[in-house]
Amino acid sequence: MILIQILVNGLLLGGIYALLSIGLTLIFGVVRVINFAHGEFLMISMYIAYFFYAFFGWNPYWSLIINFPLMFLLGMATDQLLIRPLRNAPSYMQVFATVGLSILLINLALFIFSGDYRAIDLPFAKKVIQLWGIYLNYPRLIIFSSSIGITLLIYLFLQNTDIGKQIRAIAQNRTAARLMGLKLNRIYMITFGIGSGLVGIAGGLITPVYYVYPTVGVYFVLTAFVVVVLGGMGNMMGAFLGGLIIGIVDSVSGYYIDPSLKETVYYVIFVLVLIFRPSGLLGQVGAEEMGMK
Amino acid sequence: MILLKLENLSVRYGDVLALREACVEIPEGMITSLVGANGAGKSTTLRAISGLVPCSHGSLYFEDRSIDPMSTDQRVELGLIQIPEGRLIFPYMTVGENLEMGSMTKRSRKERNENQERVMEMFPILREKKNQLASTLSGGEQQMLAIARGLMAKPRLLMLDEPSLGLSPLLVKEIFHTLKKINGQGMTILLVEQNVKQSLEIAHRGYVLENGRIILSAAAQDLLKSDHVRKAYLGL
Amino acid sequence: MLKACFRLLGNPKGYFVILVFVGLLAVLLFTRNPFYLNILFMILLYAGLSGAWNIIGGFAGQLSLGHSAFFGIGAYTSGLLFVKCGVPPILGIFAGMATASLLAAVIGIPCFRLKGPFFSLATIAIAEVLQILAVYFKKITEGSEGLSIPFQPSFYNLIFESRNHYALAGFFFLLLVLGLSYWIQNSRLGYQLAALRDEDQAAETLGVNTFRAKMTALWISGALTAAGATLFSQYILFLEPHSEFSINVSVNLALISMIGGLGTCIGPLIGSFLLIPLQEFLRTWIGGKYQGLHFIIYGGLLIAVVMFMPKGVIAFFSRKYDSFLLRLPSFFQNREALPPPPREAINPGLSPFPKPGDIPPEKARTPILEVKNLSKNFGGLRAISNLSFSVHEGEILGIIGPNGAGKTTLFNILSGVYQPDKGIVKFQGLGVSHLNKSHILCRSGVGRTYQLVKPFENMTVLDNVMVGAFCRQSGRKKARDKALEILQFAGMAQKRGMLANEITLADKKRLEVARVLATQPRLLLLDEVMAGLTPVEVQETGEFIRKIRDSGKTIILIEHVMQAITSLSDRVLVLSQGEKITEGRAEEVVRDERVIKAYLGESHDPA
Repeated sequence: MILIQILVNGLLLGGIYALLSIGLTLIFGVVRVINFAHGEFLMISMYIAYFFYAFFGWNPYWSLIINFPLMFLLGMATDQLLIRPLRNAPSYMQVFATVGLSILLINLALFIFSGDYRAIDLPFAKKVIQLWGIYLNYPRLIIFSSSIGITLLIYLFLQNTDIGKQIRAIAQNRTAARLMGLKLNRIYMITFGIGSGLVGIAGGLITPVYYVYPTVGVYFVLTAFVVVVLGGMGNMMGAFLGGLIIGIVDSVSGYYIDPSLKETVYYVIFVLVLIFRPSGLLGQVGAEEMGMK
Repeated sequence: MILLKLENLSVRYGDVLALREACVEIPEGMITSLVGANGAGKSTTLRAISGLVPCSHGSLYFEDRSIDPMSTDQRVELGLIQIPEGRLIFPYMTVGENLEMGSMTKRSRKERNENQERVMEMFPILREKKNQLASTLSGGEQQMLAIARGLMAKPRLLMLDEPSLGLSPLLVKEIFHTLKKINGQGMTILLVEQNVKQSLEIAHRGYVLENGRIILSAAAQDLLKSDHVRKAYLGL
Repeated sequence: MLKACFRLLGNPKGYFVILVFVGLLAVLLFTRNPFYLNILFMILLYAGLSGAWNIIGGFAGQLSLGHSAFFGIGAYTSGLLFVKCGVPPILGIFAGMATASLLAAVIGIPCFRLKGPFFSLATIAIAEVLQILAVYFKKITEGSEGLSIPFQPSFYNLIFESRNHYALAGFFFLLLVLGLSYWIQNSRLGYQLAALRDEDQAAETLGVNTFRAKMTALWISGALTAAGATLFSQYILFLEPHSEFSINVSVNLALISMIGGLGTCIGPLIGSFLLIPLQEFLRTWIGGKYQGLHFIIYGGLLIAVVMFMPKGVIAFFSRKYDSFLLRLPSFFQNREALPPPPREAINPGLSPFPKPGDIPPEKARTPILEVKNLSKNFGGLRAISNLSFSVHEGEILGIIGPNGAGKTTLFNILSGVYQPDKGIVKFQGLGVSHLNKSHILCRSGVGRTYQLVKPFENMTVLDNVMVGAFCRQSGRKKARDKALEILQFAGMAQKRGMLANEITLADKKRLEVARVLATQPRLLLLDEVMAGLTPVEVQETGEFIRKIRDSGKTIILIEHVMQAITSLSDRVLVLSQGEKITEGRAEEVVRDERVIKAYLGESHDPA
């Protein structure tokens, strides 16, 4: 019985990780860049959600009205201003550039908001639903169902809209896409925007459940990387599945091993995946080599 | 009239002058064939026309208008469509989706459905496998898909880079037959090929490239009969 | 030896640097102000730490963002040994270096197969794991509460009353790191690292064991970082997982080298002189009040450097520095002379080539290379199908065939890049098809060039050839002499000082051949070495190839330039769609019906 509760907790937690990772994997699959500042976009949207509630008394979930477009724009700006000039540069330059952005944003937040841990005290935050003897935390349930919903939406977007198909096409073969008249730069920009916008939504959703502080993004982004690599770089379903798996691993190892060691477990998984199956569970074998030179 | 003109076009890759002052004229409604040994510069020519690589010298004219400053997507919008070497279909998209990708330009988007019908008429196997992933198709079917995808873009000039590569002789025959048919319907074609005999047989005009230079240019029939081509390839 | 010292002292490059260091030493001995001494110590220490990072990050091009793992392990090893076991840090520092070396193995073995950002990610993850473990095992490490190191000044404790002594310790640490860096850069390892940084695969086929080279660089780098960490912890006297294993430390080390000049010896020192005072001043003036401001500037700086000065400050000012040095007087220098040409050098005027077929009978009996029933598939594609042929010593075998015939795949199998699915390859009578590392095949005597030339762009022509020479020689002087000998043989000696990316294509192709010749192969595989050359250059290359064969080597040539094949080859092998169509003398093969069909294609049946 306890095991089932743990698994369910893990699934709910996995929803959070899935949400964060979908944006990251989309950006990687198309633009072929690892955005080390992805976590900081989350952090910014969390602060916005926090202030929505703390200053204005509004329901933080409504912050996605601002967060999605804002992060979308921020993502597009990052791509055009930071990544685009470095598209043909060796990959380590992109690493350094996004790491630099990450440092800048973390410390900007530190400077403006100070390092205090802030939390929202929502009335329904502690609410628990009981279903067949399993306890489901209400806000986490919202996150989980939202992540399913959003994944579905993104999937439908990619499958059925022209832009979505263009995004997929570019991820599969850039040269062919160019020869079809697709505007690569525009799609990169939009994809970066979407990926970042998704993280913006995630921020609004998880603020009721997590503390907000300048380095909160660092913790989440490393987990997101583990998820993305596990699921297969560039694969949406992979990111979703990977998120759920890592959530379960997190929950199970937190209970059976030690809460403070659970991160160790999935970093070990991370390194193991990178060694033995770098393409991940659902990724295309060889995908990890693409665009890496 | 001359649909596409290359005037003293040179393309440089680093130090290599892959194409040296090439002058080519593609007449409308005809099949022009570009042949030459490996490394002679055939693919480079197509890449330059499509705008995938910059030209260091010379100019490109489409319908007497200079297209040098145009980007690849602008040239595609004009109707300069290339079927690349190796087909380069989108492996994890269905046949139908691949065809849709061919009609993303403003010009072709409007007629997407009619064009899709038309190409599936021409290549019935594509209709049959419409919802299958493109990677499951055989080599010959993929080549047909690539050509159909190109046709979806409403090309004014259809350029093919070594369509016979990796295909059995029977399939090659079929592909060339199809190309002749498409040309019969009025399409201007630029064909880059290693398979000299078959490509010169369906072409009206031919150019022979060697080491980046055009060394021969004549009516395709004349080239077929001459010893020149064999010399150029086998150095006799 | 003495002569070398005098030469070093007399050369402006040498004595200017020495003067700078002596000046530095003077400053740190005579300054009294504790604030400045603190900054000075930090500058020297971080310069050393970043210099250590530079060995793997700059020299080898493996961007580690997890060096705080080495830092933390070094600090904790020596710190814990001191506090809990009473081991004096003067010994503890070596224990720290030992654990760091072990950690290097743990990191390197799994992670070196990862490229680019993936390697960086993996290193970040490892540092994070160590941080978590350090907090978890708080019984040993005191966890987040931190480990205090008692202030017991003594030389053996590496704790000093006077800050000047700390600064001095930092100075010696820096000298150690710089000295080691300089030595590595000019050693065989340095050349191999520079090669694998530029072109990984080309380095492998020149006999460089890239894994071993990277591993060596990593453990040296890790050990030095750990040593610096010990000095640091004996200064700060407080250890805490979130500081020692922090990603800020890792980024700092990388940033300092990047700003100063990635991959140069002195870059870390320059970067440190620029960044550390900035960091310390900001922290003091702004720090407490406006937390994080100095890091904002750091982040912005990193972005700015990446976008505008990717080669670092050094590259920006190197011309000015060089011209400044040229203006300084020099002493004890003598002109650098070329070694006398080797006795066996062939006089280009004579050139007696053995005509095709004139191979001495004993050699003709033993094939140097035997290929039997070779097959290789890629997915569904049959790249090579049941191929058999042999090559005799001293022969030039030409391989021709249309695009996609399997020629380059064959070379890849012969040089160890791919393994065959079926069939055997025997080189000098020994089976080699199971060997999956190009560098082993290179050492066995098989050398190859690439269709698309892969020169080590950032190295000179001479250095490029030296990488090849290091396959057989271990000392720098011997490698250099060999390389010069090869360059003379190739007729490129005058260009030895030019950078590989500054020479013409024909020269790059010749360099590629010279480079592999330095590995002293018995069998040479030349992949389209004539492609893109003018007729005159083709002629010259042909003569060069004959010269190589005459010096005792066996050559297999893939070519499309028919005149070259027919005039050079003793025999020609024709491949099409992975199969052998025919083989024989060049003149016969080229007139063969099947060959003509393969190239020009079948014609339509008349409809």
